[in-house]
Amino acid sequence: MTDNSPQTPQAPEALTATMRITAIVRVLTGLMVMALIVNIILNVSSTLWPNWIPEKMSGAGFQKDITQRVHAAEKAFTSNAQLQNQKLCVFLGLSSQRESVDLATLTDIDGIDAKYLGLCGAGLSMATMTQQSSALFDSNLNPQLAIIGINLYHQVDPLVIAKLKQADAPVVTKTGLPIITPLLKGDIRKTWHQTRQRIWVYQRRRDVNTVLTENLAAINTQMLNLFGTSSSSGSDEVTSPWREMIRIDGPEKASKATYKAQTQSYANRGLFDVASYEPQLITQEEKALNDIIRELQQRGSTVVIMLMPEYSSLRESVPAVAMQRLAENLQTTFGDTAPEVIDMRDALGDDKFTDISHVNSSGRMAYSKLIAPMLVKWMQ
Amino acid sequence: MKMIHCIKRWLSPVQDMPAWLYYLKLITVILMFMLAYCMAQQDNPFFYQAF
Repeated sequence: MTDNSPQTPQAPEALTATMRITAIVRVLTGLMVMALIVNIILNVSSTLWPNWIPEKMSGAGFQKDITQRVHAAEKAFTSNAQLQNQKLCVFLGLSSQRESVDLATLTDIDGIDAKYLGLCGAGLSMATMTQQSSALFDSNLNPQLAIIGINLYHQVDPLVIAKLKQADAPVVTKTGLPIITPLLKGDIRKTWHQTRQRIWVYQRRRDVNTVLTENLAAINTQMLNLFGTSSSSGSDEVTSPWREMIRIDGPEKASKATYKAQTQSYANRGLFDVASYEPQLITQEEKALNDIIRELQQRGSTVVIMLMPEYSSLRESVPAVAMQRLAENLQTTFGDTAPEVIDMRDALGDDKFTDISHVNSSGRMAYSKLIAPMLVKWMQ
Repeated sequence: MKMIHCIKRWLSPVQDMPAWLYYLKLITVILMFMLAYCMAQQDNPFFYQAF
């Protein structure tokens, strides 16, 4: 009896532990199933009602944002007498310039009484830039300085190249089932990438964040108005035309595999092929750029083309002919009035990039400090 | 049948609470997690210093 007595109380304890583990596993299973169901519902709802959360980080979202900035700037110049004597500098371009320029840094450094209007969107080529910034050319704004920030590969429209490639190779290569095929091949990286492309909250996280932030800021402004006070900045961070441009804000540094994958993705678009820069293939993009320059010059703006900083592997991969084409086009079209081209492609080290074509936060500060003295020169 | 039984077992509420409350709690946890994840994507960590 005395030998068996210590074993008696151990049985219920062991049972309780099993029950506890089972309960935890049950809850985790339930959470996973619920996450799956919520993801399916959100994906379906976004398909059926695409605008229930507005696309902030896509072409249409950027165009809307740029249009609002232009209208707000127009209104500010009309209604505020103090702004009449201030110079206006606009930034036009795509994501490379949008991520590189910190407007607050420029305002702090330059010492010039100027207003900076960030009108950069996102897209693959210069025609997109024309489309997204069309509000500027419908407005009465006459900027003293216009900085057009581009990359040389923006002269190539990947869709044009894709159509050509499709004509050359009509046989569609089999890629297999998404997620399953790479999983069976043991390609964990590809499996994860294809999985996350189907997770709604991953895809739309920045849209949700922007919508939440805008609404919180709007409530904040209303409350400040209600109590008859103002924010420390004195401006509305949601609707002010002088606010910072929308940023993706990626990680400070990507893995080597990511840089490699991005370089490959750019290569697949034909951006590194000499043949992609044949004059007949880039006519539309050249026209888009020329139209913007012409329109700005007619408004009396000093136009400067900035070749945006690039990660070394990207810079080395773009063929030299790309630079020749840009120079030839500008010289042929504008002659003596051709805008100045500033080559900033190698202005920053590789540690300043979040991916091969976008700078990180320290890169943004470094780039903004680099261009500030140039802006002073151009606006004087 | 066995598989359905197994799934039912693992998806049933863990305590003496109504099933609807259990699933509501699960959904709340998922939605809060999603919201926290989205808010963690704040573009500018110093945004609210402007106010």
